[in-house]
Amino acid sequence: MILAVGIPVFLGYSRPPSRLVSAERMYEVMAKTEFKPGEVAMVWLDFGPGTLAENQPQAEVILEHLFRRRVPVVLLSQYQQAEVALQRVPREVAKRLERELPDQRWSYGEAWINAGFRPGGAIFIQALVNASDISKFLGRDVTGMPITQYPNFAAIGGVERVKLVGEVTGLTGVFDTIIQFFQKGGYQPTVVHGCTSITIPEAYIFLDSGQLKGLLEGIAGAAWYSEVLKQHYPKSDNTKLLVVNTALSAAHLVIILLIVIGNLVPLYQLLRQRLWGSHG
Amino acid sequence: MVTINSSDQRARLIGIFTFLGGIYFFLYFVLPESAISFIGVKDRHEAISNGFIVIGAMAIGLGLFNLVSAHGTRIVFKKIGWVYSLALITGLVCMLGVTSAQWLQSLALSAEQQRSQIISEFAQRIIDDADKTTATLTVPALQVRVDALKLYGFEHLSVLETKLLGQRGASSLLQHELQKNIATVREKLAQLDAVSWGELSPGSATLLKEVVTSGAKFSVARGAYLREAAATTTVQQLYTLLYEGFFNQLGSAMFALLGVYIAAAAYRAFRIRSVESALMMAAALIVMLGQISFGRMISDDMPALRQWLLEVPNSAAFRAIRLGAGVAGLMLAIRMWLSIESRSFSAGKKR
Amino acid sequence: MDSTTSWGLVTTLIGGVCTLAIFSFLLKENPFYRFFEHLFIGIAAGLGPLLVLRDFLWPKILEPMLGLTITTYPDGTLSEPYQPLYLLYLVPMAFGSLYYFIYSRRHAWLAKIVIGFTLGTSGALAIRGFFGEVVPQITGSFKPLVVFSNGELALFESFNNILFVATLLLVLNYFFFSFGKDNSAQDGSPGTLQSRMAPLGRPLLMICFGAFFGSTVMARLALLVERVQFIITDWVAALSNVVGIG
Repeated sequence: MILAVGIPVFLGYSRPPSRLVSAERMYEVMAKTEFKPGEVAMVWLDFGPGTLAENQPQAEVILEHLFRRRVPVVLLSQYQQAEVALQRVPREVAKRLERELPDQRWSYGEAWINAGFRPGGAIFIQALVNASDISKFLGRDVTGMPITQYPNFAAIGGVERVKLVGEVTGLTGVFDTIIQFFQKGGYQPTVVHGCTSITIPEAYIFLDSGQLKGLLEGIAGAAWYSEVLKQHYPKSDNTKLLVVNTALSAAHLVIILLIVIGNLVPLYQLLRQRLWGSHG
Repeated sequence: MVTINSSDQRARLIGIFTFLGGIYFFLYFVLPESAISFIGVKDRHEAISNGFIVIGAMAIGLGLFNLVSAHGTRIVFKKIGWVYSLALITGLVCMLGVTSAQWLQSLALSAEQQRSQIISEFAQRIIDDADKTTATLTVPALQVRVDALKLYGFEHLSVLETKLLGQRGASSLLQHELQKNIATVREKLAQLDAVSWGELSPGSATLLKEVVTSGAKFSVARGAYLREAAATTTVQQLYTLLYEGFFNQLGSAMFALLGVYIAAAAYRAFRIRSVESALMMAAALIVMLGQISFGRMISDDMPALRQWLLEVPNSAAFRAIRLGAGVAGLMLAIRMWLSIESRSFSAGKKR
Repeated sequence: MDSTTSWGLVTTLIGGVCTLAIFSFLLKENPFYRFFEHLFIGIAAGLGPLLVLRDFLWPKILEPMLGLTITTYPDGTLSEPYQPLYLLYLVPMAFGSLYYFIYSRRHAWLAKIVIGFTLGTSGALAIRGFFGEVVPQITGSFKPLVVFSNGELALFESFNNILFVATLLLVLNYFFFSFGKDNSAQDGSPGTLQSRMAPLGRPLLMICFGAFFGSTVMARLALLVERVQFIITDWVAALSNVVGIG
């Protein structure tokens, strides 16, 4: 198993990812959502080391798309362990974009702000949704600066001005809290979700009901999304993600092979017994 | 003094508080917005919600006390496995210490940044106060305020420029950005000399607004500079070491062990013994083959088949599960709120 | 991870050692693994409480309560007057402190008051959440069984909708009404239509579980892939740096 995973990584070998329609649809949603001046996207990064492997690539592709569109992003989390991800992920995405486009900049305070960890779960979210001015409600960012001091985030206003809500998590119940409470009379945001593979079947019911408009299914979803991004932005670099996805695919093949062998062996033994009788 | 001794009285008291815990949010949900505004709760909702969060937040010490008492005892009395308890307590103390130090450092940085923010905030306050027509305002005259703003601004900027000359740590790009902003703010402050400040006219308000805007950009640039410089300090590096070197890696590795066990289970345990298990395995294979790069070697339609399986039969079945669980959850929530499920929480001894 | 600085190098090297320590469990449980496992628990336990204090209790509650958010402007005026109402937060703080009576044998019942209060809050929020989450699910289940597209019957969409609704109803039937293991009546007669239909839900559930299993495999393997990638690309490179190869 380790070999199957290690060889593609060691050789840097990658194959085109599987086409996931949900990721394509999410791209359309994120590309077509209109943001007027002062309107923002709110992205929740609710993952820690346990789901980092799947959620971090998802967070990166979502932020890359929003950054490319120059949509101001408010980052926050309901999960304590996401603290470093909230700082590291947007910075790395910004650096990557600046390497690709040296004449452009994505700086903290303009492209994004980090409102940090906010405890309280459902209580916090329902208070946020009912606030008359989200900038004032959030108060200060992790650096201690009042959010009202950042021009792009100075006067967000009510929750109706949050046009897109992204939730990247593998935790049970966290995504449900967004679906349940991030709504108000007459207002429902466009919600997109980056989920770990375990919660894919569960997330589909929300896609079907329209409560969720876009879904990234684990690493495979992030890989296909990055391919779609590359079609629109050819210089976008997704090599590392594709290598990981290929290694993952190789590991899957090993599992499938083991399942098949595990079932064929007793079947063969059974057939042998029936056809030729028991021989020791 | 009234004492609550009988278990019935205690159970009743717990039941009352359980009900009170839920009544606010329940009423906030069911009452129309006009009624909520009329009562005056709408403006206080954030503060009340914070109060509820505070109650839960006060429990942060429980886990720590438990861990320290259980493992501390093991260390003190040198019980079996005390070395591992020592590792646990060491990790705990180190993380607490380093995170506290990092917090204090960020408070100091915030205070520094706050000194830069004052320029923009104070300029905005001058504009806001001058707009007010109330006679009860006891603020100094406009000229006095503008003079104070200029004095503070120029002094702060000079001190900062002197500091910048001797400082290292942040990138030259950030330093250049900060110096540019300092120059802009200085220029905008100097422009304030051009008008007289008897009254706030549209022209003078515009000049102050420019100070507000340039001051805000300046404090953002200062914040970026301070953070970048702080990133190379020992405290921050230690925090990164503990978090990214230990915590992230150990957590990820623990979960990664499951991947190896899946492989072992795939050979030993995933056996098709009936029609239903065959159906389950077929669905699993379709999903797995549809999501990997190599699935197309079998068929180009693999991803589409997977998509169909997840969108139609899976969604329907899972929705049924969720509806059932949702209704059960609702019943449990109501029973919990009304203390119908109160046996576990009654103060009396278990019968 | 940045291995270009010395701190970054140390962080990467330690990360690799931690990973290998945990992976050593695959051979056999050993002291090396147990040591790092305990270290992990200690670090995780130390992180959580302080973040709640740092990111919520201090900036939102304690700082305004102590008047530390008030700035004095250069002209001597204050940014905002002190709000004595912030002192009311002492009430939930005192109430929340009742949690710690759990350590007292005699007064442990006091902790149950605050636990009950929290459960009551969760219960009420769950009632609210039900309507936010489940009601759209119910309304979304009413799908047209015959679908027309551009004036023509869309067979595939119609089939999908029929299958969807049928699956939903059969699985619901299986869950809600299959109380007994034996779905026939006690006297040997075939039982009601509903009880005869209940077992049809099982095979459909198996499809759902199969999808779950297929997805779970990807989730678990992704974690393993990430670790192997870290070891091969980051850790080995850091090790070569230190040893002086390449």
